[in-house]
Amino acid sequence: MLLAAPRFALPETLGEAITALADRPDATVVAGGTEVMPDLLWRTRRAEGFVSLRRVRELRGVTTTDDELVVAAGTPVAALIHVEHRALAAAATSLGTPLVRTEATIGGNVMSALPYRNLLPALLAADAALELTGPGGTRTVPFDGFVTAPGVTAIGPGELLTALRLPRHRGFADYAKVGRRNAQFVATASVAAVAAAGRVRLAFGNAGPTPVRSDAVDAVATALLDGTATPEELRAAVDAAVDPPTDPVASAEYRRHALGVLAVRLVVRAQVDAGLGS
Amino acid sequence: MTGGIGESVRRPDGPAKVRGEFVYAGDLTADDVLVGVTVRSPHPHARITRIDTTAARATDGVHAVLTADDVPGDPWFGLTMRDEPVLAGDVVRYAGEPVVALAAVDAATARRAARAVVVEYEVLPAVTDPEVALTAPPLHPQAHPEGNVYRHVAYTCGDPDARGVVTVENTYRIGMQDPAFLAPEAGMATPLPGGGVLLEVATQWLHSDQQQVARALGLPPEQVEVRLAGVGGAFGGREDVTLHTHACLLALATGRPVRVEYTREESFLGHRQRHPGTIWLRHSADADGTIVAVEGRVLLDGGAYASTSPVVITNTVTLLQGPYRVPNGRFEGSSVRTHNPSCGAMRGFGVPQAAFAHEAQLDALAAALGLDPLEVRLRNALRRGDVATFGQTLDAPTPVREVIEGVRDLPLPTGPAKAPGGVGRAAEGGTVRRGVGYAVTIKNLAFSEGHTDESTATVSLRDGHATVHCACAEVGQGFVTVAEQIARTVLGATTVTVTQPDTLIASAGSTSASRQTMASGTAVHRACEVVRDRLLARVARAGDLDPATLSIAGTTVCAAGRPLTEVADAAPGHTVRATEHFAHPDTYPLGSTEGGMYVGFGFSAQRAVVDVDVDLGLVSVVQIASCQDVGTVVNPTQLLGQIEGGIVQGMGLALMEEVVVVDGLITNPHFEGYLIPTIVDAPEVVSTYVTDPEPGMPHGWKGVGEPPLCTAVPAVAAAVRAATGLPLPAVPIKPEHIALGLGSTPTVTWTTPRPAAPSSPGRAVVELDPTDRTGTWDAEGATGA
Ligand SMILES: Cc1cc2nc3c(=O)[nH]c(=O)nc-3n(C[C@H](O)[C@H](O)[C@H](O)COP(=O)(O)OP(=O)(O)OC[C@H]3O[C@@H](n4cnc5c(N)ncnc54)[C@H](O)[C@@H]3O)c2cc1C
Repeated sequence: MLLAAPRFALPETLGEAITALADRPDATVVAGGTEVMPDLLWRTRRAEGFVSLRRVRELRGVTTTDDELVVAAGTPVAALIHVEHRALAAAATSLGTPLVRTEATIGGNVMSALPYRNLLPALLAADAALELTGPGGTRTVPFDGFVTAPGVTAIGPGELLTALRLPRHRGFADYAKVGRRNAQFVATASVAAVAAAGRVRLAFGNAGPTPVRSDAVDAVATALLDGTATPEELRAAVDAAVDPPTDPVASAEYRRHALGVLAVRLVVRAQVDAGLGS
Repeated sequence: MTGGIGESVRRPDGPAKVRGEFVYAGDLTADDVLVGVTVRSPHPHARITRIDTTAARATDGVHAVLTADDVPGDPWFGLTMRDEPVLAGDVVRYAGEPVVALAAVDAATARRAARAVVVEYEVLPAVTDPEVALTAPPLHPQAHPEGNVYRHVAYTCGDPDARGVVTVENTYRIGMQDPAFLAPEAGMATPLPGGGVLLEVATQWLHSDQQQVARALGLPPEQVEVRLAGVGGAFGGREDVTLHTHACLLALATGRPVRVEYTREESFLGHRQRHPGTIWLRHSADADGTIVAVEGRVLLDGGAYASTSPVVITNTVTLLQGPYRVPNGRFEGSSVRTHNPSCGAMRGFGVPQAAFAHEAQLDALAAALGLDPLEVRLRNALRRGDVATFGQTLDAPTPVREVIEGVRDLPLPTGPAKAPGGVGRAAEGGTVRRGVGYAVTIKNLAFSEGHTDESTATVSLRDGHATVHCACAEVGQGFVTVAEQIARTVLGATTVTVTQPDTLIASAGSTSASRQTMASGTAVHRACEVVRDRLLARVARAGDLDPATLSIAGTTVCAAGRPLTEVADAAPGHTVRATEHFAHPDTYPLGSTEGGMYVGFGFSAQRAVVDVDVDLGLVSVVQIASCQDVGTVVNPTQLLGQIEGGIVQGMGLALMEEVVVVDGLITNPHFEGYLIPTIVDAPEVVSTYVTDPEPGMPHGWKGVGEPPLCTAVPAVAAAVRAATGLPLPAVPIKPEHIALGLGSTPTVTWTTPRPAAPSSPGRAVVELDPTDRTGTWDAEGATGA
């Protein structure tokens, strides 16, 4: 059987990539391939052809404007370890192994959209926006709400994730995750925090089917930073906001507990950073 | 003399392994080779109602599709019971059980054909709770009509009702550990002229494979030649037959070489795991910590097929006493058939389970009496000449006190520690507590209870070059290095080749039970001695010398201690060859009055230092100090490799490694979900030794491979308990066990001392009537974990 287009496309420009995808609506987009390839191996994913983004130069690199950190979607995770935004840097540092980080991309992590993926809480706490480019042009959407279910996003047909835009942030930001060993592990639960202008914004990984944040939690976290709320109050607020799963790795009860503990610890770190704490 | 016994000689296969040039079983190939794959049951228990292979057969490039009907010989196989079908025909008894084997021109075609095989099942209820299986109707009436108990062991010694001032009791649980070797199962079968077959396979025991495969093929064993292919780790998981018979059946059916290599998932499904189990233990002691009596009960889940379950249970039950004097005791246990994955041999062979339980008990006893944990252990330490609860006199060095003192005196770590939680950086901003824990273990070495433990080696020497041939499987433990060292020391060989093991020579037994330096090393040693004596006799004849005055020092033949000639020049062009056999003294079944159950024992003590983030339940193992009874140090680097590897594998079981089985299905048959320690998790290891030579062994060597694992499991658990104050009666210890404080505390009861009844039968072993079971778990007051 002759295919209209070869099953494997290796575009060199973003325009070519959009066209290649339009020609192969059922094809799988591959960036670093660190998720697509294992999925194919384990047969949890089928592919009717591939559009590889590896040669698209425009999709790599980190730039800054006066008010934004712009990360092209094909930027490898290894390149994020020293970015200005410390939550993103910390989440990148604990992703996989050095080999994986060299290949894995930020865009692949976002589009994988699984609740335990490292970068998602960091991007949510950072209040990131996403640039999506399709045949009709480019649109920008907030990351908050972009992931709609585990592995499912609001990306449109024929669209690629092309960049992530984070409000510039030089102050305290951090990320921590717990798992069952001390390196190369999937997050049992994770929390990211960004403190700016005396306010704390928290986001939670594997705390529900999609990345979780809540104004109520942030209000208590901010109060804890000020010394007007207690750690117990923050833990209670987190407990009310999250809905983590039970699976063979951990119970929902443990995840709730760990999310609360991590939230408090990140606020404590923010206090220390601000010279407020011990 | 360089390269002899006692030196850190480098592995002959080391450079190739480091460069990636070593040929592992999965790298085997041949002209015209076909690829074999296995179709497996997705159900833990089901009746097969229909197998339709028409579409698979019709697939282009498919050369054979085989079902149970195509097994020409014995349809059953197994290491002990022969209860496992080569291919399931009517009923499947675990999820992952092979049903169809097929061969095609390449892997993609074979996998496509496998998907085209239609197998219809009538799903049956699965019995996955070993407690239920104990009394359930037979799960496998064809092979095992009496019930589901693979073996029930029960005995007493002294007066088990004797009491000191205190008893402590608890119920302990051990999870299912996977050997998790890095190279999945692989092998290649090639038809031989005359109807036989050559099987090159990554295995631990060539002759057992040969017997089992030949039986299934309906061939005499000599028609099945087994040759060792490059092994990437084993740890017990390659002791059973997996793909072996399927590859041979396919090769004979197609007349072409067939290679089979499992995926990682198939590897988890296809090989044997370590038995998960529940152990209830009650210790009674005097106020000074002297153990008065121990009672214990074990239930191991053997899974769907017997494998070595009947043997493993005996190790667990008899070694519940630990390396301690126990004058009075009652011990009982069963391994039982369920529809879970089959369990069998894994490094430690039933002892890590026992060790985890008895060491937790010793600490509980020390805590109840307000004594130092090491003091309690020293007070009860076994000594040479003592009689074990199972009736065997410990007539070899028994340096329990020495290994304890050996770790006690090692300095504690001082350097900066790695934070619990590692790269996740969860601990910052929280509180980390340090804990120190100790464990001491006894591990039986070599085969037991009358199973012949033997090996044979052929050694030849020509112009200073020695060749060693032995069927001992090199699985990474370093026998190839040790054999080379022996030939250099005994023969003065300048170069040594250790040939690839095969079944053209007699059996060397399994590479397991810490036994190959003892068995095959001694066979090589004996063969070398005979070759040496023949060479010297020849030199004596040629030079008209008295052979009694000749000896070999380094690479030189000496007469009356003075250099005469180099070994390499002693008999130019002449080959001297000898084949020698070695067998350990006989062993006897539990309860026999003729002799002991075990060949020998190794003792080990460890001190673990851990840092624990108690709020999150995260652990960092900072250091493990070890002192082990090793007989003699044959190769310092390889010995340290065994200690470090065993410790890391043991801490894996203590903290993270668990095959999670839900309703008979493995939920984590991959390394994303089955976690083994990384180098970031591995502790600093400080290793010291007690070298008290083992009688009857050349240089006094003894097995060293299993004790470090057996000891690391309880040592790490003890340290985490010390850091948290929690009872932690189950391994692996999950973060939530710590963070949420799960697990029952030992029950401490103060009792009126009751000396052993004078009429109690001394220390003789008494087999209880297997039906005379000593109550239920509940009746003994044990609470669940
Ligand atoms: C050994 C190992 C360890 C790992 N450890 C971690 C870990 O600790 N934490 C973690 O979060 N993840 C981990 N991962 C998962 C994976 O590496 C990351 O999710 C990675 O960021 C995925 O990026 P990628 O470029 O490789 O994605 P790919 O595999 O190329 O793609 C992933 C998904 O994103 C889609 N996609 C990729 N780029 C775009 C785009 N520009 N526009 C639209 N869709 C796109 C693909 O179609 C696919 O659906 C690990 C993976 C491995 C193999």
